[in-house]
Parts: sequence; C-alpha cells; structure tokens
Amino acid sequence: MKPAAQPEDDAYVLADGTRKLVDRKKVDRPVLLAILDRVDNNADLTTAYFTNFVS
Amino acid sequence: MADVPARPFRQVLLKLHSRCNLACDYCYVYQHADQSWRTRPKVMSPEVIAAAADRVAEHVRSWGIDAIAVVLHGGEPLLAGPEAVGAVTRAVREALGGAVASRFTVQTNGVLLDQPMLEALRRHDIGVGVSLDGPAQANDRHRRYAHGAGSHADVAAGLDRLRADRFRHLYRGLLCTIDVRNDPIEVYEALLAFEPPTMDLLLPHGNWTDPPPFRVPGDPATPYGDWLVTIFDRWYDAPQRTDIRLFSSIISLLLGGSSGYEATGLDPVDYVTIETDGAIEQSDALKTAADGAAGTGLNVFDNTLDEALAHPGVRARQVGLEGLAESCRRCPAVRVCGGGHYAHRFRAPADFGNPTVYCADQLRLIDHIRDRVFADLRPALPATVR
Repeated sequence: MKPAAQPEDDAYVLADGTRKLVDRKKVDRPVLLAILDRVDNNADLTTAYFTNFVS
Repeated sequence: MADVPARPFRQVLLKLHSRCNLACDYCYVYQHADQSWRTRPKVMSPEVIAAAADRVAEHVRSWGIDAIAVVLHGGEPLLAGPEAVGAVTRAVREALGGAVASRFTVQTNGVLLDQPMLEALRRHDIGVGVSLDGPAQANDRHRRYAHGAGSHADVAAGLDRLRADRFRHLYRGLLCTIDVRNDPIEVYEALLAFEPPTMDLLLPHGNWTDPPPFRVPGDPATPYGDWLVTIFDRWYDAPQRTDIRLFSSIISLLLGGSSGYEATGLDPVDYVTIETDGAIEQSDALKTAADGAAGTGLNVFDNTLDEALAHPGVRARQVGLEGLAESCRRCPAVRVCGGGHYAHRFRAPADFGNPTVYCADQLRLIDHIRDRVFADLRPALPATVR
C-alpha cells in the first residue's frame, strides 16, 4: 500500500523526501492538507501539543 | 537510557480539587487500583499553589522555555470555586513573569459551568475542555451522580452556556471515553452537535492484569479498532474540520511528523502532575495500574520539577524505542503506535515492558488510516514514485 518512493523497510512513516514530492493541489482532503501543513511547520511537536486535553 | 537527554516539562496538571460531584464508574482517580485520593486534601491550599507556581517558574527559567501549558484538573476542578480558579491562575502567571507565555485550560465534567464560573474563566482566560460520552443513553451508562441519575442533561446545559457568544472563545473541546456497546456514529454525531473545535475518543483504561471492558488480552478481535475505524471514515470523509486528536496524531506520524499525544508515537512525554497536597506525580492514568504507580516520592516543597525529570518512570517515557517491549521494537508500526498508552502496557506486579493491551485494536486503526491516507497521497505524487 505504500508509495513506491517509500523506502522498502518503512511501510508506515512517509519519508520527508516523499512528503515533499506531494502536489498539494492534487490532495482533495481538507483534513489531510491541514495535517501536511502542520507536519511541515511543526517539526518538533511535543506531547503537550493538544494542550487542552490530557487523558 | 542515560544517553537520551531529558526533555523539559511543557505541560503541568494542577489538581485543584481532588473530589468530584459525579461518580463515573470507570474513573481512573477513584475506581481503579490507586486510592491515594482518600488521604489527599480536597482542595489545593494557597501554600501548595504558591509552591507549585514557584516550581513551575523555576523549571521554565532553568530550561529557557518560552511557553508553558497549565491544565486545572481534578477530581472536578471547578468544585474549588471561581475564587480558587482565579487565585491559582494569578499565582502561576505572577511567578512566571511577563516573559513566558502561559496557556490555561480546565478539564471539567461540565456540570458547574454556570454564569459566575464562566465569568471567572473568561476573566482569567482559561480554556474549557468538557468530558462527555455521547448522547444521553451512552453518556449516562457511566457518567452518573452518586445517587444514580445520569449527568447528560446538566452537562448539555453547561455546554450550551459555554457556547454562548460571550464564552465560546473559551471552548476547547470534548473528551469521550469509548463504550463499544454504543453506536459509534450516534456517539460521534451527538458530540458534533455541541460544535467542539476539537474532540478525542479515549480507550477505557485497563491493562494485561485488569483488562478493559470487552477487550480480551491477546485476542485477535478488534472491537475498539473497528469502532474507531467507523468514526474515522465518517470524520475523514466529511468537509467539517473538528479535529479528533487520536486520528490527527496518527496521520501526523504517518506523514513523518510528531504525535502531539502521549498514547501514540515515540515522542518524549513532557507533562507532570501536581496533586492537591503538593506531590509531584506522573500521568494520572497510571493510577489504573497499581496503588501508587503514578507517584515519584517528590513534592513541590522539597523538590524541583527537574528532579521529577530524572525519575525512572518519567525517563522510561522519554527514551523512545528504548523504553518499549522487544516485540514492539520489532513491529513495523512502532513509530506510529509507539507501544500505545503507557498505562495500558502494565502487567502486575510492576511490569510496563509489554505492548499495549489494545495492541490488535491499535494496529487495526493504524493500518486503516495508513491505507486511506496513502491512497489519497499516491495520485498527488509524481507518476515515477507512486
């Protein structure tokens, strides 16, 4: 199921290099676009990111 | 483990009040192994508040942190009253000084969200997260008063007041604990009806020794995974943008980002709890594992928060792969799953070196989200690398 650009040994986590190839104009999913932006802009989120919730 | 540097706390839970006006049957504070609430003060005293505020400020200064999140927690924190809510907020802000941003929220059952309380929360700029398990029949299975009546109607009224124009900006979201007997879409739509900016769907606490409801340890059936997948598809396919923490976190990890959440991924856990008596503790959820499991033996009068960072329980949750069970380290999904919630890995008498008891459910959900996300991304990649 992984894109061919992904390393063979990682079927789950998209490599930075693969993510950078994603053409955002071809992603028709608001939630996915929002999280792509979040990943690009917040490389070092901590577990306190969702500060309003603690489980 | 010693090679992995410690990360500072960026979120502090202040247990403003240790009792509750509800008697939810699954509560991790009262209904599980740890019974330390019985011997703690009901309310955080001014002395504890002052010492806690000083410790937080000291920690922030020593690490050069520019922002800290503070969650007023309980029990039911609003039982402390509007004055106490204001006092604790003022104390922390004054101790921090002007150079550090502080973000306050309260996690409440919503029953006490009346006009005077909402005015106090507004005055002190405290965001509000509310616990609600869905429609009345779902919520009131567990979230009841001590006399047996359900809480849904009172919580709904509190949420309506919170969503009024004057207070809506304080509204942070809803926390829902899953009961797989409830229809997932009915639950999701009932939560959406309250227009939360964010919500989360929590796995009920349990472990290998004291399993969660309807979860047989080691069984390949995935009742929770299936339940969550149903909501994921509804959420992912809809145009609205209510964030669901668990799903967003998994997508973020699949895209190579951070989790932002303690129950997924390998990011170092960076929050700490201060109890009403000043005890410095780990995650509250550990109270479901064993009596005293959340304890560190430290307190704000005698110890710094840096000392808590060195506690083995805290360290174990800051060292990524190294802190996981061998079977987790070999799992191809480990960077997304992260071994699951630490409390769910427990096996008596004191073993956290296991996969989460929800391993099969978690993998079912992660695989489903991965397949959907990668299917969406493939057409957006150059043909040569699809």
